Amino acid sequence: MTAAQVPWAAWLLFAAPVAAILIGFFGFRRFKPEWTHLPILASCAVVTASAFWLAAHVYTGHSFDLNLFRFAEAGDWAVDFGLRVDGPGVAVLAMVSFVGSLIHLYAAGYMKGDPGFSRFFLVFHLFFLAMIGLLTANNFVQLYLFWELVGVASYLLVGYWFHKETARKAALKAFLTNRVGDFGLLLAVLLIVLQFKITHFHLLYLKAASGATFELLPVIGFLLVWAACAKSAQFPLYFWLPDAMEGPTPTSALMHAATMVTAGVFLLVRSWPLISLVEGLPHLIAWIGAVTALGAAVVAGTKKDLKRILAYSTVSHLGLMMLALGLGQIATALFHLIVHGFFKAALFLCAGNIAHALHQPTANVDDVGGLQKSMRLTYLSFLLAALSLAGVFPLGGFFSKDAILDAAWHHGGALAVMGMLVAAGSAFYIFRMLFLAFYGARPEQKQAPHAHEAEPILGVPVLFLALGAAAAGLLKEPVERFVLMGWRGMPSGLAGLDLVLNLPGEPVLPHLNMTVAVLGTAMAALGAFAAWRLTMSDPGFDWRWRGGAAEAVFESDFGWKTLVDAFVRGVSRLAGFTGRVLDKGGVDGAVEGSAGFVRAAGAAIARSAQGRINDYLWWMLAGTAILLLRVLR
Amino acid sequence: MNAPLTMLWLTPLAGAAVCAFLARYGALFFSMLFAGLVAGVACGQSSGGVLSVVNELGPVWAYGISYRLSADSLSIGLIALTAFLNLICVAASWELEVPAGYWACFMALASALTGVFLARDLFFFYVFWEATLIPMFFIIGLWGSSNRLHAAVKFFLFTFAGSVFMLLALLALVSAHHRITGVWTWDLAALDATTLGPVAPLVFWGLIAGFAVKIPMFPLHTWLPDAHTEAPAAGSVMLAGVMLKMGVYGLLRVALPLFPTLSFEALPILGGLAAFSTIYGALCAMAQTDLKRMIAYSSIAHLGFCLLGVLSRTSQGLTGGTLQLINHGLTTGALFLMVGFLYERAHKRGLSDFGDLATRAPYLAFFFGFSTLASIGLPGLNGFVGEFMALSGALSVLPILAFAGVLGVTLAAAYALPAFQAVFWAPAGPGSVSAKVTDLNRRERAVLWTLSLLMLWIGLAPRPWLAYFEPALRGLVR
Amino acid sequence: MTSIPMGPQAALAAGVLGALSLGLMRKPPALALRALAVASVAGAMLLAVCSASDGYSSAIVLTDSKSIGWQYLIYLGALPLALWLDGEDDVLVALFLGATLGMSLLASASNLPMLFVALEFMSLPAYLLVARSRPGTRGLEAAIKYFFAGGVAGALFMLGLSLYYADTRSLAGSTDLTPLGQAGAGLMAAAALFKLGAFPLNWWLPDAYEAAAPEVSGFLSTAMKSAAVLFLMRLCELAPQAGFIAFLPAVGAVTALAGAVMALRQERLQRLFAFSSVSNAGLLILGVGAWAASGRSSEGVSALLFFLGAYAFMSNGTFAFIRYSGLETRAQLKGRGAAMPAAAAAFTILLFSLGGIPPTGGFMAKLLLLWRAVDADLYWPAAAGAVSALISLAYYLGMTRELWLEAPHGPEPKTGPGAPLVIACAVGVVLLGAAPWLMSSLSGALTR
Repeated sequence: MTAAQVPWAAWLLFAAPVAAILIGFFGFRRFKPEWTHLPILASCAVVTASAFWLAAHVYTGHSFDLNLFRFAEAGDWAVDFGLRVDGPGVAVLAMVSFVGSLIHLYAAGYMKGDPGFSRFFLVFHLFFLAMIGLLTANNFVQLYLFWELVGVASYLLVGYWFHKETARKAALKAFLTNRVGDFGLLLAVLLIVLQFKITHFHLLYLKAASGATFELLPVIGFLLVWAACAKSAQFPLYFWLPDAMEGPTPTSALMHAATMVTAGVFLLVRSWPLISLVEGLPHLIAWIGAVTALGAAVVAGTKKDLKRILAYSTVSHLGLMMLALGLGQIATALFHLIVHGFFKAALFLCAGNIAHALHQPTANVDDVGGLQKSMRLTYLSFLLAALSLAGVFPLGGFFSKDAILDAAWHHGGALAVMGMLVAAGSAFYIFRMLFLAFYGARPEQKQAPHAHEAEPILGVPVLFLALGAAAAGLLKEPVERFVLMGWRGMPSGLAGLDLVLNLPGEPVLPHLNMTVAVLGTAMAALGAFAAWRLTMSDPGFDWRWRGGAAEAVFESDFGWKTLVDAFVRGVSRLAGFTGRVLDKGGVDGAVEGSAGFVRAAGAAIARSAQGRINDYLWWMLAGTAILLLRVLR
Repeated sequence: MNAPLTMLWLTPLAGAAVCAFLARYGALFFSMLFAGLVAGVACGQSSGGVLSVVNELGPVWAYGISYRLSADSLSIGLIALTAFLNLICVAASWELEVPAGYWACFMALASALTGVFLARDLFFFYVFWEATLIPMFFIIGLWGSSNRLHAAVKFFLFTFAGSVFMLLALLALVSAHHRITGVWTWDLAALDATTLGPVAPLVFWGLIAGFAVKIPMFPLHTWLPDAHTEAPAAGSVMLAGVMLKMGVYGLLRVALPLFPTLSFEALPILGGLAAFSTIYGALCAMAQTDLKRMIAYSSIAHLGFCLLGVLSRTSQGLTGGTLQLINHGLTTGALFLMVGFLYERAHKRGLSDFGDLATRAPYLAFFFGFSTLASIGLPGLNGFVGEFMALSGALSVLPILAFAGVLGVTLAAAYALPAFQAVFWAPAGPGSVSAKVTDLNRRERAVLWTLSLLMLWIGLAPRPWLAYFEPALRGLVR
Repeated sequence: MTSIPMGPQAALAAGVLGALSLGLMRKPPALALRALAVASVAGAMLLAVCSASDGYSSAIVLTDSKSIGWQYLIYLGALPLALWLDGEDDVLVALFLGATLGMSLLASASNLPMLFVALEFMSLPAYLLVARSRPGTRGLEAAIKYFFAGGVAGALFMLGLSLYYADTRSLAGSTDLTPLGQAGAGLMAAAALFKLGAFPLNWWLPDAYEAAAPEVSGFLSTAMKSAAVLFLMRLCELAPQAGFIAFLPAVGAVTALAGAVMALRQERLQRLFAFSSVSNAGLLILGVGAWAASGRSSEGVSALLFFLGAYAFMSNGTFAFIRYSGLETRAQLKGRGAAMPAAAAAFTILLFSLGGIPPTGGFMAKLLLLWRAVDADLYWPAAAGAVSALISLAYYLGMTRELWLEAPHGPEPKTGPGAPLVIACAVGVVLLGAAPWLMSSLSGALTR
């Protein structure tokens, strides 16, 4: 296959956003900033259409992978950039472009009148573009490029309202934490170059599967997991994500549902053939996922801020995806990723609508209550998405979560129990949120004086997303097929790629297991019941427990945040010590000090003879004596 | 092919003389002429390979010293950087109220730098090397900021201290060569071929002392923050953009070819110091409250990457490290220029002296953010390519070095972004001078667009650049 | 032209006589005295050029290539003083020419007693020059101290000569030495090192240089230093087995360092340059040591010649600047660059040259000298010499900084004559730096 045979749609994936951003930056931003979204929305439409076309193309067996140009080269060292449109990539791509486009549309309404409207849309679209690039990269260096671009765009978006200190801090925290993760990815990529001499995914798969031993592979695998933990907000590097909701709501929606956090999971999917070769590593991933999912689910049940609850929920669900990955269920993880994209985007945008109705950037459960009557459409969307999240049959979330629980169940042991507990926890926090926000109106809540339904541009995209979340269960079979398409030999592309790839643990979705389905539903029901019990039948409970020791534990995420803060303070103290004490006083002090020492020595010697003849003669004779001594010795 | 290379360094020198009468117009004319000439030589080179001119100064010259210039792509690349940044500096300081000497100093500096990159006779190499100090001494001392006197003298003395040992090493080298072959020569190519025996370590470490100060490598770096901070903006650009490159160039041109084995044996020490520099520079940068000082410390970190790549003596390391020289010139040059623009407007440089500039000066914020991202090694911009290749090279030789280097990459964001936020995002504090800051004018924007587009180009399609440097470095690959 | 044996010395002697004769007049004509001084020195130079083509030697004097080369240096160093000498004072002119004659004799002496005679011939007028060149008692005090110390040095030499003769029964050099002879040679060397100002025999030097008029200091630091270097070299030649020779590089290194270090904190310019001159003397002693260690190579001689030649320009130029500008302390230098741009720029060039920055003669001089040391495997002394150059750069740069970069305060000093000389010296060092083969071809021709 040559570049000329690449379908138009694949080019459009990049051409449209780049053109839109350039037109927006050089044209609209200067002359008509309030219209900046027009080329960008057009680009969204083009990208979505292209993505669906490509998905269909791949679905019919036409995935492709080819190198387009040589990025860098020196001697026998080279990095090629190319395009890989295969099953896993295009499946996520279709979801990202569809969900992302709806969020763009929503943002056009949500951000209207904001003084930075134009800047917002340009960076927002850059974010989107970066994710598209990440999903179609065909090698690790290219992936790293877009990976970082995603990070930068998210930094700019989280810090969008930079006049707020919290936004600045959150942006920095997000970027630096991701940077800590990137440390792993960069090092992993460098090690891959060193070990395998190539970075191309498929060639790497073949090399890794060839049976030879690669002594660096465990390190590489571990570093990749480390990187994924930062990007996909997994323990121990999850803590940036809840703060990242400081950005405008569409940012949060895009970041949590489609672009940013899914990148980590996707990275692991991409490198799965490498990771699965490392003994114990999948297990580690499963445990990271399970611990994160459970911890975040518990913490989510204690938060007040609507977006923060959803943020912890994202952490929890990403943990579930990791759990699935760790258990070898690639397709399950991807399926949950896609379903999660729908319901999480819908939930965030609902939270955005509530905040919008209150004319504030974010809303708190203390501020709202009983919105069910005044915001019907939002309520309906939220309900659909929440039920999907909680895993209620037959909504999308049921199928994806059930598959994960099933895998955990089959694995047995603590992971199975934790999976069930997460199911209960998810239902608890989302129903608690639902009840507190849309039902009741409790005396403790400041009732919003003029909550009103959002205008259509804010309502309709949300509804679509919620419907998608409800119906996403239908995607189960296609996703399985897409994933298989990705692992098997590529029908066309690079030379050597038609070799059959035999991977350990072929990803096959578990069939519906009645025990697990019933048990999972029961756990969800238990969670929902607990939420009802604590918010509806005892309306003041949610206000009473706050302020105690429990809040301290939950606010610090079981103490982990305190540790991280201590670490950050330590690094900053080390920097302060290095820069102000060690460098200024030590190294530079030695330099300046030696100059001072020489000057003082000069003055001292010069003082030792003060112009008296006696001094002269003494020194002369002493000097002569030394000379004679040396000569005669 | 005799005249062009001599013309290369004589043109800016003539410019320096003319600047005494024509000031900025002379500088503009001659820096354009110089840039044009460099472009011409580069084009001639692409068809004809290595340009070289050998001109013995005659038999009366009893010390084996000959006037010998040559230019491969490494030389021309760095001379092009000199010419380009010189032009940028002239454009950036166009509206300054400065006497003619200012322009003359810059032209003289360009001439001496060009000489360093052209000379293939070690005597002339050293003469040009030292001659760069004089104009820079006056640039810092006359047109710098408050503490300029101390900085100028410190800069001169410190870097001279390194060169003194380099000179002794060169003398020992030439003498040793004479003792073995009976021939007096300073010709680099001729010296290359001899094995020196016991004096070799002495010569090697002497050379390294000279180069390490210039680079600068921990712990010989402390002249740099002072000099960069006190120099005028354009002076910092030349200092960081070109003068720091002399050290790595010296390594590539002299130390590595002459001492292939020793330089490899010294890798744990030199590479270790280079890797440590990347972390140390970053940590120091984190502690700074002065914008310029922070960028200065970041230079120490960046040059550490160049050094790591070059010392690895792998194809990708050498090429990437060399490309990183250019990258650092562009990126740090742009950052220093912008701090200079800020200083011209508000006469302050502290992080806490500004705030909210993203609202007041969006262009400045855009370019500063862009350059900052390039500086911290964001892929897609130039810094990444060099760092990645350099680290890849280092990793294949001594993995622990690359590990430290990657840590340095990680830390880069921890100083650059908080500084960016403090100046551009945070609200203006009570003592802030942000009100005095106007946005960039057309001339300043043009300068920064030029630099930014180059950063983007190298970041997205570095291959032509790498291919340009690679042949000159091929011989150094171990 | 045919050469006249001892022609230069005769010309100078004639000058001394002429000056004394003119002094018989009640009011000696200033112009004539000055013309006499210039004519004597220039005539000596010319005669030296004539006698360069063929050597001449007798029991006590010889005219070899070194002798001729050094005579050039001596006359070169003396010429500025001849030009700017106070023509009113006939005695001063006679003393100046007498000192020059002593140096010239020193350059030609071929045996030890002759060296002693020449040494005293050179020194006695020098004491009086210091005493007389400036009104007031300071010069007198310095001259007396100088005289005392010089007397002791002369005595040491005499003692050394006696011991040496007692051992070897020879006045013109010998190979084998017993400890007695070694001690004698060492004592003679101490006298030579005293004249050069080697540490710790240097203390007379700053006092004398500071008290004398600047142009006299310039004369002492160039012409006399050249003569003293040759004095030391002659000693090395006459007593090649002497133990002190091996000790010279270390003495030189210590002197170079000590001089540079002591100059750092000096405030008065003449005193500062006196210490700077000590530092340069250290390099010269190192150069002599390297020359001796490498089998007295001709390269070593030309390196020393080059150094002294360049130093003649640098030192005369700086003292001429002090005289011209009327500035006495470093504080007074501040911000004066703009008031006298040409002379100050020339002075700056001289400072950079003294600091050893290319492309100047001072750089070439240091390079050649250190190279000799490195070539003779004297790495540590060479490194010490290099470090001394580095330290000295601190005050040369410091003065540059005061001159150009700092703000002036206090009244503007009155400038005197001498600006062209400063500029000429600066041009000289730049020429030497940019085209060093001018000097080296000259010295090459001389030492052939």
